[in-house]
Amino acid sequence: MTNEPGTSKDDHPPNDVGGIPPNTSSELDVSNVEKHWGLTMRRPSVQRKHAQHARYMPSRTLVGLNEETKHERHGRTNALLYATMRAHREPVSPTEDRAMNIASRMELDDELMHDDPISELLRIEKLRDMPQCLTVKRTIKARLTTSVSENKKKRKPISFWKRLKYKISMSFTKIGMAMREVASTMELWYHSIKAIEGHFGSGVATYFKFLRWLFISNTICCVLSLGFIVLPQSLLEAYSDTAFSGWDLLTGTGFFTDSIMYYGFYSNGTVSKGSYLTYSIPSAYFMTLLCCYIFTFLLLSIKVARSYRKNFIETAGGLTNLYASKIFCGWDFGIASYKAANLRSATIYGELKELLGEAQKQSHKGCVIKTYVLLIQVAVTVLVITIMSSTGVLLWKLLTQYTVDYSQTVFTLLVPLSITTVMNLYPAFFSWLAQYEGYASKRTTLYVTMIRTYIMEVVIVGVLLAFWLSHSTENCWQTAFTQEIYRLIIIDFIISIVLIFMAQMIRSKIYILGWKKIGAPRFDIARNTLNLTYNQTLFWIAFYFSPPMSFVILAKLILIFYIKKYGVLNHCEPPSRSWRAAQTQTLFLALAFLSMVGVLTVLGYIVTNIKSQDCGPFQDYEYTWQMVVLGVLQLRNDSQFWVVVTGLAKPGIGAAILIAMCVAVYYLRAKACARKEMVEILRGMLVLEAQDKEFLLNGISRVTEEQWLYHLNPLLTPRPSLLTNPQQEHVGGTPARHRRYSKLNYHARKSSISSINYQESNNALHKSLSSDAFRESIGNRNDQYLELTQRPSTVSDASSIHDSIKSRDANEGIARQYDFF
Amino acid sequence: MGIGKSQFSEEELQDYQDLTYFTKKEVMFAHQKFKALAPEKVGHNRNAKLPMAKILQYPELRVNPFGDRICKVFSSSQDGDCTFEDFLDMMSVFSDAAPKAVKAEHAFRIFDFDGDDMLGVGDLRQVVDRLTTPQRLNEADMQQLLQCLLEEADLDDDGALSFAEFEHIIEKSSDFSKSFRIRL
Repeated sequence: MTNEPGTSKDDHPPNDVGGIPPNTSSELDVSNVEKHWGLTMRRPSVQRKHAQHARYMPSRTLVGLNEETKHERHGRTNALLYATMRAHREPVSPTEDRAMNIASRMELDDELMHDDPISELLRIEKLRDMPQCLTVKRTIKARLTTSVSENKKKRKPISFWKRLKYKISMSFTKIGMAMREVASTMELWYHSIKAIEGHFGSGVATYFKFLRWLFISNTICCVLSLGFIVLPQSLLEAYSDTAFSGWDLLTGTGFFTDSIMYYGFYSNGTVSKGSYLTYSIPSAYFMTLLCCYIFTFLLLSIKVARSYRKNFIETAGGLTNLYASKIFCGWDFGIASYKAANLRSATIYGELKELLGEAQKQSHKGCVIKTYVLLIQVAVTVLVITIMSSTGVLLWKLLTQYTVDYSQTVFTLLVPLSITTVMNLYPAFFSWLAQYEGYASKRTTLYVTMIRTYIMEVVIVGVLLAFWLSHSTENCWQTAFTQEIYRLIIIDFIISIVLIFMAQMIRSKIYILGWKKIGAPRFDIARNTLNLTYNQTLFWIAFYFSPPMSFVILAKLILIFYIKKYGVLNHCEPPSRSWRAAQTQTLFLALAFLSMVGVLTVLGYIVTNIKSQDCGPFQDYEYTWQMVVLGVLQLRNDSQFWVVVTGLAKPGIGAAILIAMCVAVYYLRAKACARKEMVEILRGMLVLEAQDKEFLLNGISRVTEEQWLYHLNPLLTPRPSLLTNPQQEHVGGTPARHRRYSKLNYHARKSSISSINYQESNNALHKSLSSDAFRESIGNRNDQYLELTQRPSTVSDASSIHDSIKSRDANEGIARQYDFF
Repeated sequence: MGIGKSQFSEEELQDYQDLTYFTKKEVMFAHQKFKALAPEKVGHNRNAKLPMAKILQYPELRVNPFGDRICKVFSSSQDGDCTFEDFLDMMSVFSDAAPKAVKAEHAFRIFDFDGDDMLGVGDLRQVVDRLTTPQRLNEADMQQLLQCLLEEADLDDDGALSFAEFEHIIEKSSDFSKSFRIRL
């Protein structure tokens, strides 16, 4: 252990600050001594708290081998295991010995040694999380198993119910294991994604994983809708007699208009086989889609919540350790190619340089510059908003011009073409603009660009929806609207995927042929992922009006996957900036979730407020929702249920719920703030504990050198430098933190100074200590100390050394702080 | 995977499944990968000890600046030579299923070059150097970087990162589990 901080070597303790009463007389009595050492000053609860924190100190984890506490089994065993793991470095003991050592420790734990599945699971979990090599673990496991079975003979047989319970829990575990096995063998596109990860790092791989996730969730929707809607309907009628042409594939009109593809074609009747088996298409249509939407919504919300919790809540924003995370999390261990590795090194080098440069730059940034930057940002934002709104207006004009007459001309493609072009040009424009806005970090720039792009998508899709909803009085508007979306999906595929693929191919060819200035194409994760969300939003809207659309989207996703994979592996260079995958991923998911909520709101509006036309499965009812209430539940207007529902739908109740939610949020928020404060306080305590540790280490090393002597040093005066600037010799420490804790530090330091006497000052002290009683007490304590340290093998001794040293160290200053906590 | 099955008894596989974060299938898959490093040797003795140079031929370790450290940390003889069990252990810790705490513990040992249970200035310097090779930060930058790093991470101001401090960083970092990962 380090012994370097000899800060207290020749410093003299102050006697005018802190908890020690200034002692002017040289005559000292024992009670005063006691008081000074803090032995009697600290309440037991405080001591316990102190000890709990101390357990995590490295000094404590080394002692952990001998530590025996009944409470907190997790913390305890971990400390013990880490200790053993670390201990092996010094004398390299054979693995067998180490295993036996750990096994015998574990055997002492009653909870682990029961002969039942729960404790077996616990045992295995513990072993698995242990940082030991596998050979050792296996030996331990074998030994534990034998000792458990030996124990079994002594035990009385367990009851029938318990056995049943264990059996059930065991079978659940087994099923879980089997599921995992199946999942691992069926992992989709495993090798492709691994190859991409190896060459491009985990950032690019997140795009493909997101794609895979969308694919899987859409597959489930597809299977459900094909099985429950399309198949039964095709038993009735699948298409009408219209000639098919290739053009129809692109526009979604012609042959497809009167086919199973669209809402308008679905029947309002029932399929019947025999006299008993009937299948109502409208009910199936509504229920299946409802299930699909609820399922997707739940899946997405769970994923967003989990991702948010993991990346933002548990990490407290995740931005706290800028340098540390750059260094310790900088290397992407998944990289497997030299090219990517070299690029990674260069990236890390560049980013560290940049980080250091920013740190220097930030310190002198004037107020004028800040205002200037802010002005630019506001101006650009206004510009972007203007562009977006004018695009929306233009789109509306375009829609009114061309769409309403369904003539099959080239003009049907005009709207989707222009939308897709806009969707591809604007993001580039936005990211170009954001470069000049002078945001504090690249990350903010990226976020701003992404959010602007997303808002633009929302504007475009919103205008489209608004336009069609305003035309919802026309006959079978649903079919026409879905055709529009279909065209958008197809054109987006052609332009965003195929054309860009071509462009990248040409660019990389030119680059390879020699024109290096053009630069190799790079894979833009943000833009590509946003494109996926846009695509998915379109699908979610269209799915309600066209169940087979799920099949189209699946085909599209598969094609995207392979085209992108080929493009990335063959044409693109790895990204030149490291991609903070985790948090950006959360943002993407959140955007997808927002889209989902928006789509669900619009669909809810359509179901409840838009009158059904003379086509589609719900043409018998005035509104779609009546199908459920009147048709399926068979409720009349005067039923009890209806009264309850209308009662609940009153605005008063809605407001009450809203207010309750607000209160709950406020409460939770306040709690979070309090916790944050508590964390700050605990952090302060950690600083104190560190001082403890420093002192302890010094003390222990001195004890072993038999230089231990105590003295009370009210006679000695503090060094002024220590008083004025107690943390001068620190290596680091943010000024703010130090300012806040300098006082606490000071107490801790003072105590450490006051309790150790050094060889140099021995003589002077011996002269000054005239009181016999005092001398005796010191002598006793000294003996006690030496005695304790000489046999540190027993548990109680080790901790009592620790505690007694600590109690000395922690003077009233600290004690008072604890009280305050 | 039929060949793999004959190599391990059911009991061993169960042990491996219990003690790592892998399923039996994945254990077998890992063995295939291990065998691919030295088909001859592993063909004779499935738990053969391969020298570090051989282990470092594994694609992800080959390009990893900490490849030798990883081998040493996971090697049961602590000299970098790995048996299959060591290799399996390594892959298990680097897998997706391994909890953050376990990963952090091993990462700490990988970065702790001098083995003194603290990430001192020397260790950190070496970590940064290895990360940025072939380039090197100049001395002033390095000093500043280390100072900034200690400033934010060294809570007890002892000029080195203890395991508790390191774990604290890892806990707060959302990207660690994503980056400290090798897919089998």
